[in-house]
Amino acid sequence: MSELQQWLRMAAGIILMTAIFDLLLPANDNKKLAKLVMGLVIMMVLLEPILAVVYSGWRADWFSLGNPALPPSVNLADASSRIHSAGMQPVMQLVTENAAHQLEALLISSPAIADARLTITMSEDGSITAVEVRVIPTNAAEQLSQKDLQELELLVKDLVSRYLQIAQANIYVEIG
Amino acid sequence: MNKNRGVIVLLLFLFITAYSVSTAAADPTQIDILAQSVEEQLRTLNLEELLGFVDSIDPEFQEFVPALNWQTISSQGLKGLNLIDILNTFVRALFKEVIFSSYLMRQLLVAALLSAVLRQLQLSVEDKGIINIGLLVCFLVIIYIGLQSFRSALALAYQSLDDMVSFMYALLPMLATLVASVGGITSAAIFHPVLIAVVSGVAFLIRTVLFPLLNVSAVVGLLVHISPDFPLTRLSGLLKHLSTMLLSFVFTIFLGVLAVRGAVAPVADGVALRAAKFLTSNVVPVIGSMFANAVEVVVGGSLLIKNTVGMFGMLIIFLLVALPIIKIWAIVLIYRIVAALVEPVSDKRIAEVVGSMAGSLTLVMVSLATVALMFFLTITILVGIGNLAAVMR
Repeated sequence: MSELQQWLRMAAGIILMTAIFDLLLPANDNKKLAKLVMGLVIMMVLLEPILAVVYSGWRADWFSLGNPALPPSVNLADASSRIHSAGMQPVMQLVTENAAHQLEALLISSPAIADARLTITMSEDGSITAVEVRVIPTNAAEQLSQKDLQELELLVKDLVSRYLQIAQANIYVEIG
Repeated sequence: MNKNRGVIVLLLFLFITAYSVSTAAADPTQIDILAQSVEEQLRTLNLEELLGFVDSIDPEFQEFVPALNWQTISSQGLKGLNLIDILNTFVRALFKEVIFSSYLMRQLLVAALLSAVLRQLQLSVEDKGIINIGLLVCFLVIIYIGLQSFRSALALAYQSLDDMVSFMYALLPMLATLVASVGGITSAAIFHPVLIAVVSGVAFLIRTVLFPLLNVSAVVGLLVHISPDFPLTRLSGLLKHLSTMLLSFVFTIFLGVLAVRGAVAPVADGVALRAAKFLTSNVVPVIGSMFANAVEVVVGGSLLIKNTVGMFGMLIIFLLVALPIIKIWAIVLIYRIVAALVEPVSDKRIAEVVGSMAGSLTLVMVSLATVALMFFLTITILVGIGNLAAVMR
């Protein structure tokens, strides 16, 4: 763009000069000739940018303007999944709490279980990754034999795995 | 006509979806969880960069910028806006600028009146040469004042263009991310690069071609009348023609790019979303349907955020460009007033020079407004695409 500015300055200067010459020249027959010459000079000045292109042999790079600066690209999928999981946090908490309450009610309805606490861990796509169950049996834990304890654990695992349709390996039971 | 109708339909659609989502959010049992979800999402979104642009708005206009929080989002950011207030502030700003730039009027009028006096003297004095040179000096003074104010107006336009472009560069990735999180992953992936390219291309063409061209055309427009024996009216006309042609060319290309956008991507996204919802609610038992509904709430929250951020972006673009346009407009008004005042008393050429200055400044103003309009439409498109994907769900 500095070439353009230069040309503009030159054109303005020459037009100004011709105007001053025009004022200073005495009005006689020669003035017409002088005016013609000045007109030709102005024409040459205006033609200059076009001539510069012609004499440069129409090189393509004369016309290129460079490239605009682009902002750094972002990974949209990553960013959107981050936002989505942030938004899911409170909602997910509500969902898992609801499901845990349902299951707790189901467990308590069994005569062998006095109280139950559940924690459900859920992944982003809605599948359940882990269930932690804490069961308090009707009889004190010390009075139960090893066999009874195992049976209770199996019962709880079976119930939870059937209800939520998940593998028993993902269920962790704690008694007492 | 067809394009107009398309834009109107799009806007209607935007408002209807925004309204329906916000009425759904008004359910009192859901509102808390939605608010929590929206606030979590806002925290992750990292809005500081966007909010930083509020500082580059004129302090007087900053009060119209809404805060980006749950209150604004649940009311869709429209409740706090008072149109009369905004108009009042604009009119006040215009008057302030006109009064601030009235020194231009004084200078121009003094030079013009001086030249009028000189012309009267010319009739009674023997030696015309001296008077002619005096007239030329008056003329040069007017040209100098005109060039100064044109240069400051152009610098203002450059600044405002740069502000708008860097704001768009901050806003578009954020909006595209929100479109993707609403479910329009395909649309965001298709449109984000296209819109970024359009914005940068438009800004680049305006910055490196149109504004210099306007500069040259303004200078030539002033030189036209220096010597009546060597008129450059045609050259000045050519340059004006070139610059208006470039502006309309850019706008046409832009509209073409927007028109090409198909409804294919949003529909594909909608179908994908629907399939995912079906899978979760039927394959995952008990919790599945609850989970699917939960996803619905989160997506609804993202939709609200996206529409509000879009609205916020449009408002910021509007306010960013408002003051420069008002400032340039004030200068244009002063030139037009001076041209009207000077015409009966003074040289015809002086009125013409002042008028051509006003014309060049108007072109700068119009190109700035066109760029703002294009950015406005870009935001509308991106916001609308997300709504389409969410509705197809």
